[in-house]
Parts: sequence; C-alpha cells; structure tokens
Amino acid sequence: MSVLLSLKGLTLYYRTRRGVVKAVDGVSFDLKEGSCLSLVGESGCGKSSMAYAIMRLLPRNTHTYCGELIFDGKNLMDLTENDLRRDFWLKKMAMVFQGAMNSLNPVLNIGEQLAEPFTIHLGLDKLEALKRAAELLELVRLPNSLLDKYPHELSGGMKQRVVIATALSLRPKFLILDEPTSALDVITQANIINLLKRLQEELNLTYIFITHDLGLSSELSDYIAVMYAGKVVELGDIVSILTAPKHPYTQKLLAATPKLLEDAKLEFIPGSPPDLAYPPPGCRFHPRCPYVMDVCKVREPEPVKVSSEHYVSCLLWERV
Amino acid sequence: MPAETLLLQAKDVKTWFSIGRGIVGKSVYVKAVDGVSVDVGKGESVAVVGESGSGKTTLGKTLLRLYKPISGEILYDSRRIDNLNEDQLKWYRREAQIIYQDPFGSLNPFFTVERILSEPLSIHNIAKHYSEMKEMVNQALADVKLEPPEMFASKHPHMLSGGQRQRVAIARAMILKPKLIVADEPVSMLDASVRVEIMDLLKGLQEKYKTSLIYITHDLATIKYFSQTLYIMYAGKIVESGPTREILKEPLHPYTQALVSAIPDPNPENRKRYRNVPAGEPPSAVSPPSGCRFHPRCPYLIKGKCEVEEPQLIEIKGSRRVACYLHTK
Repeated sequence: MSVLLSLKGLTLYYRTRRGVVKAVDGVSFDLKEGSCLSLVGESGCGKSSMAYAIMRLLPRNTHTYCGELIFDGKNLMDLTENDLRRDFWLKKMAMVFQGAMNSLNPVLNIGEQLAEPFTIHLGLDKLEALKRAAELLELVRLPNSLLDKYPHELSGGMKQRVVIATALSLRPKFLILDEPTSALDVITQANIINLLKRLQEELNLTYIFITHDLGLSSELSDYIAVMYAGKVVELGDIVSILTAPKHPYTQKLLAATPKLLEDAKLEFIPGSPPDLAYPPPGCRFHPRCPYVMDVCKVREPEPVKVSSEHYVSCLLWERV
Repeated sequence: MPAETLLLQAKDVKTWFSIGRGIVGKSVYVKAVDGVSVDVGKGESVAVVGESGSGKTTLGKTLLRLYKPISGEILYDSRRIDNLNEDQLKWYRREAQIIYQDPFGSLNPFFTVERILSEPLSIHNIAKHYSEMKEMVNQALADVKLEPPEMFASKHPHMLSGGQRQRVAIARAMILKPKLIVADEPVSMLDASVRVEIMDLLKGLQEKYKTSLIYITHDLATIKYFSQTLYIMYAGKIVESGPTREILKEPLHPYTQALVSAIPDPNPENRKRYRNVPAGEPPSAVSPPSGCRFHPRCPYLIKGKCEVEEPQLIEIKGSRRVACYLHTK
C-alpha cells in the first residue's frame, strides 16, 4: 500500500490573549492508503487542531503554521487556498466536523443540502444534482423519502448519516472524522460505526478518526496515535497499542477505560492536561507521570522505535 | 424488598406531557413514562439505562417530584408523595437531590462556589449563622476533594474545569445530606480520565453517607461501578430488571442484548467485525407501537403475538424480571 498522507514536523500555533497556544507541535507520521488512524487523547490535547492542520483549514488567529504536509504526492503547504478549493477539499479530502449534525441548515431540506456540492463544484443543473443527492442517501443507507424532509424531522443518527453523505459527495478518498458519534446513543453509534466500516470497504477510504474513547477507536483503526499536549506521544498498530502500550500516558488512558465484563479496578490520571500556552518543559507529561525521572523535566523525548510499526516518545524507552 | 429497608417505591407511574389537541379534539400526549414500577432500598444504588427518548430522565425527575405523574403511586419512606403540592413537598426537597449531566449549564454563572453551596442551606434554614454555614461549605468542598476549600469557595464556575464543576454540583447535592440522589448522566460529558475520578468520588460519598442513588445513564460500561440493581428502559417502559452483574453477563431481553453488544471494549478484534445491532430508531413516545414496543426492531419477532399483546414484566428467576415473550410464555 502506498503512503497517502505524510506529515513531518507539522505545527500549528494560535495567537490568543493568554499568549501563543501550541496546539499542534511538531507532529510526524505516515498514513497508508486505505487504512485508518485514530487520534486519541483527552480534551484540549490538540486532536481537533491536528485535523484542521491536516486539512489546512486554519482559523484567523493562526500564529505559526509550518512543517511538511504531503498528501497524494503534493505538498499542501505550497498550494494556494484556491488550489485547495479547486482540487482538494471535498474532491480528495473531506472532514466530518464535530457536532456537524447540529449545523445542518434548518431552512433547507436534505435534498437541497446534499445537492449543493454538485451544483457548486460540478456545475450540474438542479435535477441532475438531486439525482446525485438521492444516490448519496442510498450510499449511507437512508431512504429516498428523506430528500424533502428538514433537519428537525430527522433523528440524531439520521442527521449524522446525512453529514457523512455530504462529506462523501464528491468522492474524496480521505476523510477526517472528528468525534462522529460522541452525541449519539450506543446502538446508534454502533450502527454509524458499521456504516463507516462498510463505506471504507466499498470506497477504499482512508480515515483519520478522532475520539477520546479507546474502546471506540479499536472499532475502526489499524493504527492509533495517542496525543498529549500537542504532541503524538505514542503511535503504533492497534494490537501493540491496546495490548502492549509503552507510554505511561497510554497505559493510564487504557486503565481508565471501563470494560464491560472485567472487574479490573479503574484508575484515573491525577491532574489535568497542561495549558498549551505554557506547556511544561521537558516531557509534557512529566508533572502527571508516575515514573518521572529528573531528566524528564529538562529533556524532551524523541520518538523511539520499539517495534516495526510502534513508536514511543518517552525517556524510559530511550535509555534501553 | 421488606418495607423497612425500602426507601422509595414507585408503582405503575405514568408521566405524560400534553402537546395540544389532535384532529378529533382529543388531547395528544407524549407518554414519556408509561407505567413504571421501581424499588429503591435504603443505601442502595440502582441504575436506569436507556437510549435518549426512552423516558429515563423523566422517570428520575418524576421520582424527585420535579414532575407530577398523571397516575400511579410514589411512596417515600411509606409516605405518598405523588399527590403532594409544592408547599407540602418542601421536606422532600431536603431529602432528595439531583445531579445534572451538564456541569456547564447546571451552575449559576453569576454565583461564587460558596453562594452555590450555601443557597440550599439558607433555603432550608440549616445554618444558624455565617461561620456555621462557612464550615459546612468547606466540609462539602473537602468531601469532593476541592482543596483547599477557601481557594475554591470564592471562584465562579467559569474559572473551573469540567471535572471541578461536576464536583461542585455533587457537593451542592450532598450538602443537605440527602437520603436519595438522582444522578442524571453525571459523567457522560467528562473525559475518560476525569470520569473515573468523579465516579470514584460519587461512589465513595454514597457509601460514606449511606445515600440511595438512582444512576441514570445510557452507558452500560459504567454502571457496574455504581449499581447493584439495573432497570433497562425502552420507550417509557421497563423491559428488564435485576442484579446488574447477572444482566450484563446474560442479558435476556433482545433490547438489552443489543445494548450490551453495542458497547465497544478496547479490543483489536473489533476492527474485523460488524456489530450485531438492530437498525432503526426508538419509537415515537406519542404513538408507541402496539404490543411490545421493541417489536419493529426485534430480530426475534413472534408474528401474531409480539405486535398484538403487550408483554408484562414478569419475574423469571430469582430477582430477575423481563417483559418478553421469548422468556414468558
């Protein structure tokens, strides 16, 4: 499988009143075509910012945006926004935003909303665009009768399917899913995950799946990247991360995930993630780390390869 | 359950909301809770699990008498509370408290933490003077591990993190030393790591003060940390009840089975399989399906029976009950 997306030192800082917030701070990884990478971590560790950095959808208060961002053989950093709009957004890469199901336009019916990308990007006439909209509904297993319904008439699960359909309208091969099921009930959530699995098989999609739930990430991912305070602290294939996590933060996150039938006592991680305007020196996890050493407070760990597809940034592993 | 260990008992409670009149002039109702019976023992912790729209929050609020049921009986300590008016209920407000899901919406942003916590004390005339009130507020803050209390007492909610706010909400519920707490999804808006901390805290306080807890959630994975007894709710009805562990190990109702199989455990094997869950959505509470309300989504539908006659919640073994024709002939 070829590499679809390759990041090297991707960095995104925001300018705020409190100072410069280092939301994404030098992230590097490669993502193979047709695979799925989960980004997991607590709120405020930069998961969503990472999605914006990859899509090059930058907010107005961007302070620094740099690094290498190679998608489908092109460095997106070299392109203008018009290039992106013409050739990339929706056509090659798309995103399902967090809470997008609640930002469907309440005064347009579903057909009009789904037809919009076809009229704007492909210049189709209204009838043709509606036909394509109907196909989209079929793709996400919704009945055609929804075309003339309005968002308030739909359940949460249906709205989420419509949002996924919108993202897929121009058949991108890469999709970022930002917490696509966090507001849904468990059964609806399982149905949406089933749908995402099917779509990936049918359309050979590449996903980046953002979630704070390790259990959920195991549903879709081939790889898991654990983020903490703007950095990827551990990255590996799903079996390594879930069965042999190396970074103390990953171990703590797993120990905090409730299991349905096991009786293991749940642990919590004392303290909270640092303020990204003033992250701690050295390893950013050191104030909460149970294995902290003196060197952790001054030296920032580099990623260490622990097995063929498993990297960890922790000084405990750098020494051996 | 013998009467002396029983704290709260609801018998066939119905809470309907009128949403105007239909075409023939008859009132149309949302039947949010439609004939539910629940027993809560002293110091016991029960969980009510269901999807959004199943009526679990309405049930919780009805048991607290924040809503008045249209029929049925609610007995608290053998006293009927379902037919009391607001003035007659004041003693009950002191005995029973609620913790809401959203710690961002449930705390008054204009109040300091101290004012938030002292308001219940002044409403119920509990503190005799300022220093006593201050002491109780500090104790409540220490109980929820917001220490040092003096530092937190002067803060406003916007200065606190989500986890800290939920601690304040717990402290506010606990400060009157209630005998009953309804916790409505108290951890669902929190991060996984904070969630465990808050669950531990709530459980610790519940055990320390021997408070009865009604834990309302859609998340089966967290309930066994709280609850010995479990009620599964679907479309305004209880479809299964019994000891939590037994239900999780061997769910009997097809809806419970779906709920259990929908929960993602962190397991690399998940990648390869599709979840076996029913498609479709929970039904409308205005005109629920005939017969068993789960029948349109049920994989084991018995034609000519399930859609005709409503199954009753029947005891099948020990303290387990289920409303399903697969188990009750």
